[in-house]
Amino acid sequence: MEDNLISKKDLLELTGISYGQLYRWKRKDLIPEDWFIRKATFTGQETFFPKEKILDRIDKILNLKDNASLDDLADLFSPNLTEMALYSADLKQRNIVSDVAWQLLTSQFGEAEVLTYERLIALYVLNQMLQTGEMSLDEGRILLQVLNDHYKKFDGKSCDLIFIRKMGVATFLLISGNSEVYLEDHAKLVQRIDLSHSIEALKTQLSE
Amino acid sequence: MNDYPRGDIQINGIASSNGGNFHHVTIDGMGTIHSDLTCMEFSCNGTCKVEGSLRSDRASINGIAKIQGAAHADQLRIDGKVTIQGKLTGEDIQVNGHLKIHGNCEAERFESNGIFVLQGMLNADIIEITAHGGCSAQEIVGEQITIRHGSSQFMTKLLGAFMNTHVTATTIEGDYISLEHTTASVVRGDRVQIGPECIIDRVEYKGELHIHPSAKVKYHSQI
Repeated sequence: MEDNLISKKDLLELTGISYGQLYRWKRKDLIPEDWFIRKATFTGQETFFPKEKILDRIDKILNLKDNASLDDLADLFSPNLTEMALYSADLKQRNIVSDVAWQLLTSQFGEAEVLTYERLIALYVLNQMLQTGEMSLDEGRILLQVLNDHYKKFDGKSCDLIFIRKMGVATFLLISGNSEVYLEDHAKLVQRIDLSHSIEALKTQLSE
Repeated sequence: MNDYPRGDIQINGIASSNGGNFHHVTIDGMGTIHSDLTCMEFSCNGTCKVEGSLRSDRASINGIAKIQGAAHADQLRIDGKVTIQGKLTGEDIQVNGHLKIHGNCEAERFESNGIFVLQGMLNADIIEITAHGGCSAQEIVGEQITIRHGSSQFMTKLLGAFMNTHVTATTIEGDYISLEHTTASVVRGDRVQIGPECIIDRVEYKGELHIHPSAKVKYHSQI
């Protein structure tokens, strides 16, 4: 964890942005509060950031800010469930998810003409996991059930999906973002997905 | 912009009301709102207490107000004394008097003439502070930060003899910083001006630095 942090000073130097910009983006919720990690150093208090996440985010903001307002960007990055719903036909047409994932969803929750945002995310994550080839279709069913039952409880806060397998038995966990998880030796952590990351990717695809 | 219902709350004298969605809320006298309040215009002359959070497009408080939740106002003007238990957010915040916030304060523009006590961070594009007493915040950050010492009025001088009239912060970070009568552990910025009577442990600057002869700076370095 320690190695993946970048100090604010280095960040500003590396990206060429100013304090004003950084704090303006924080106010607009483009940079989440929990990325600001305060630590005491010998030169007084310093703020650190998760290096990859913040560099990726700032890169995106710098690229997009000429074409979109800061408020639009905030919507794009926010992990909140927006009031968005999508027609199923539309989704298939855009080729965002595979047929296999689609069939699994309809067999579990029935055919629907309009997909709610939560379903959409569940479907997107399912598709993502299936494509890696590390999850079977049956396990996909469990995944859908977990997301359906519990994702709402996070209420827009960032959360991670964890996929564990032990002796061929699979299970899924939803945990709040950035928390540490330790497993026993026999269990294997197959995958850990940052859901806010998936949502961001999904929103980018939808806005294209 | 939100759509507000036509309903108003008007309190003259001593009264209380439940919260909710309103167009205008006017309190002249002493009023208590028992839950969250959302309105287009909030105006308080006298004493008021909101037992929840306050959300308003325009708010003006003349007198004493206590808000037990968070407060948001696009335009907020305070003449008097306000205590907010949650955080304060807004576009344009102007304070003449005493402001106490237990959370953070975020705005595009923050102007204070008097005293503020912030237990969190003050984050605004433009921060203009004229201190007339002991002001403090955990962190003061923004693009342009100006801290002035209140003009040499008799009361300020008199009080100054007994209590600290410095602005105190752990960290002050911004692009253009100009300070007077300020105590801070770290000041970081592009162009930094340390004015009279400042006590700063460490200054880190990129562009230029001016230090007034009466300021005490333990260590400074150019990055």
